[in-house]
Amino acid sequence: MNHRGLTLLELVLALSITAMISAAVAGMLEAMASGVATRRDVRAHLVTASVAQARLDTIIGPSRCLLQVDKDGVVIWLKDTNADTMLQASELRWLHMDDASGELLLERVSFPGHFGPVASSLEDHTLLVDADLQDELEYYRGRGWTASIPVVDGVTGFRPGVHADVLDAMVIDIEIDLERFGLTRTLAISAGIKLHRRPAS
Amino acid sequence: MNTRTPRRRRGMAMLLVMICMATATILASAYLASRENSPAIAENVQNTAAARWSSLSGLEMTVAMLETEFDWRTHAANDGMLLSDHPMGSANLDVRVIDAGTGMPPNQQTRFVLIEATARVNGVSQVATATAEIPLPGEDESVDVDLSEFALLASREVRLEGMSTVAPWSTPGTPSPSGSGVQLGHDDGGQSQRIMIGVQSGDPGRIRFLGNAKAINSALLKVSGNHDKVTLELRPGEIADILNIPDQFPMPLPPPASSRTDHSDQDSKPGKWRGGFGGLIMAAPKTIKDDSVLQALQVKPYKTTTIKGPATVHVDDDLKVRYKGRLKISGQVQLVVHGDLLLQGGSIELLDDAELDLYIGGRVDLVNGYIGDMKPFWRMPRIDGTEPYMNQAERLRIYDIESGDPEASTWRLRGNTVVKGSIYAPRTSFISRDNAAIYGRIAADEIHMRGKSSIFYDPAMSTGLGFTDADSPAWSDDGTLSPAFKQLSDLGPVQLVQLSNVVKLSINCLGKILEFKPVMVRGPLIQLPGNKTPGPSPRTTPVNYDLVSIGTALEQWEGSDEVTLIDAEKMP
Repeated sequence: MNHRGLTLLELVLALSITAMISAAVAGMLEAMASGVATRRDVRAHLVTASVAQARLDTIIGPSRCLLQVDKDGVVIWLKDTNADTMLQASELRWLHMDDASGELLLERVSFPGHFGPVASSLEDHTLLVDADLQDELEYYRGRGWTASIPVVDGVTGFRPGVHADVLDAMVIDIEIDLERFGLTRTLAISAGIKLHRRPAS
Repeated sequence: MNTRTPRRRRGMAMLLVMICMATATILASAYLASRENSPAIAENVQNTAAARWSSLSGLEMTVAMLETEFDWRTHAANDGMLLSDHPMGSANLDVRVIDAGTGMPPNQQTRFVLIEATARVNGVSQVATATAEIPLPGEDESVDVDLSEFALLASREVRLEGMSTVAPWSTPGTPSPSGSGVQLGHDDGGQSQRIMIGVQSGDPGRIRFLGNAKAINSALLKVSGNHDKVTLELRPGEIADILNIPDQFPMPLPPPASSRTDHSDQDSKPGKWRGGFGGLIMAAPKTIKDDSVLQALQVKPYKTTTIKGPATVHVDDDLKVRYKGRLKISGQVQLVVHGDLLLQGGSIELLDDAELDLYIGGRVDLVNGYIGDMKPFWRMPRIDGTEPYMNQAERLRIYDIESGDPEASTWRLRGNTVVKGSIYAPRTSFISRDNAAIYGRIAADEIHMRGKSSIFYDPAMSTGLGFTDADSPAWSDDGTLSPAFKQLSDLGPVQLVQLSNVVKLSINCLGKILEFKPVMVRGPLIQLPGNKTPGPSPRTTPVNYDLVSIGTALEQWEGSDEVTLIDAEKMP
């Protein structure tokens, strides 16, 4: 008598074992894929936070004083180029968020290349501390005499704040809502002015 | 009948498949684990942060060292290194100081420095830079008498008209007068960085701004007692400040020229070109060496004559440099022209090691001429303030000599003439017109600028120790200047030594310091373990410093064409 072929019991056992192994492999692959995605997301935020911190340190660290901190952004007195202890427009930097591009931008007054030092000095306004610095920026923007560099991209929210009078503040806290791979996380960054000096006026 | 029982093989295939799957899973997991770089990224971030903070700490430690009496100028004289591989926490630190004016390691006269602190942590390095002003030893007991804090100083009248301009000399992309693109200043409310324009005698004195003349960030200086005698003609808002000085200060004559020695070397026999410009002019020699006396000197078009110092060269008649002719100066040279100085499209150019004292007894007429450091033959001098910075512009000094002829005391700069240096001519009427530009400073009897002529003041010429410094030891408590200063008749070494001995102060003059009482105490660089000296080193030297960058330099970042965004989509 020919006994070749599978008994029902053998078939059931084989199918069960195959199903169990397949389920285990599928679960493992899913877990690995999820892990990779999570790591990439966390790593993206981690690297962005690190770079953003370094860039803000580069901007804020050597600055002399904060001039304005509000929802429109931050105005910084970066340096006193002509050592007169007064504010000239070219010595300021405007840190603000561009909603259209989702970038945190650092904007400055930049005179055309054909301007010599004399023409630049004449157009470089000396400003009072309580001047409307956004209006001043608009004046230069209107003439095309500004330039900006992106500090961070993928930004959906930007909230700067200080815990003292702006002119006396040596530390600025900045919250940035950052979108990466469809996930939004909030970065909390602090940057300090190393040598704080108020303008004369 | 075959009774052999077949071998049972059932289950073996399944076992083999399971072994294969286990092996493949282990290999795949190992591969994925090897691709995991998060720990490396995190370590990199940690090292970068540690290095950045260490570099900042190194900078602050360096400032603390400069505040002590340690003789850092000598210690760093060779290569500028103040610290090499110095351990600081988990970092190793290098600190370099560079003379901001010369871009070289510091010397005994270095006052402005660029500090560069580099920290390395596990192969990651970060740099923090700062500019600093450190007073010279004994400087609080010294006075500058050469009036170089003034861009324009006249005995009687300063008149600017047309579109003439007074502005600072600062050229983007080249070392600024105070180095590294950042102007250094005294923490005195900014007054010292204003461009000073003044009249000295004020009896009567006039400062007049007419037409569209401009003075950028300037301050006028008057002597208080001469208020009623000094006339100011200004437009409202033209001048940032008008400062008063309580007492009359002197405007001494220039240092006397060396006396002539009547011998010449073989290459420059006076007989070769005797005859002056009215007669037959022979070719000027290619090289003049040693002390010489020449009847006249003319450099013909497209020709070059070199004076190699150390040498004193007297020219009895005129010095004339024709179109594209060049008079090159090497080494330390004193050139005394008893006649006129005439540049007609020609130039007088200083090599990097050169220092020139140019004395002129006659007229000066420069038409499209150039006096300054070496420039490419094809490059036209720039009249708009963008001429490359000349390190130590005060190494080119132009003086007048006493002349009985009133006509001879007029100096004219015309056309596109450019002069880089210090002009100190208290007996002279100085006229600058057309597009003429002076990079440096002018002190003269009268100064008249018109057309589009400009003066671009070199702030590095000011030590901040002159008579305009209210804290200067030259001023007594009752607001008067010591009589010894008022009696200073010239800036020669004999007079200065006498002055120094009388007032018991060090004297700064024309880039040199005559020290009355050197103060230099050598202390340890760092308190080493085992050094039993109690307490920290005393910090007796005030250091005024500004941070330039921590990590990346912002100006470099802003100036770069490409800014790398954080592209998460491309991250592994």
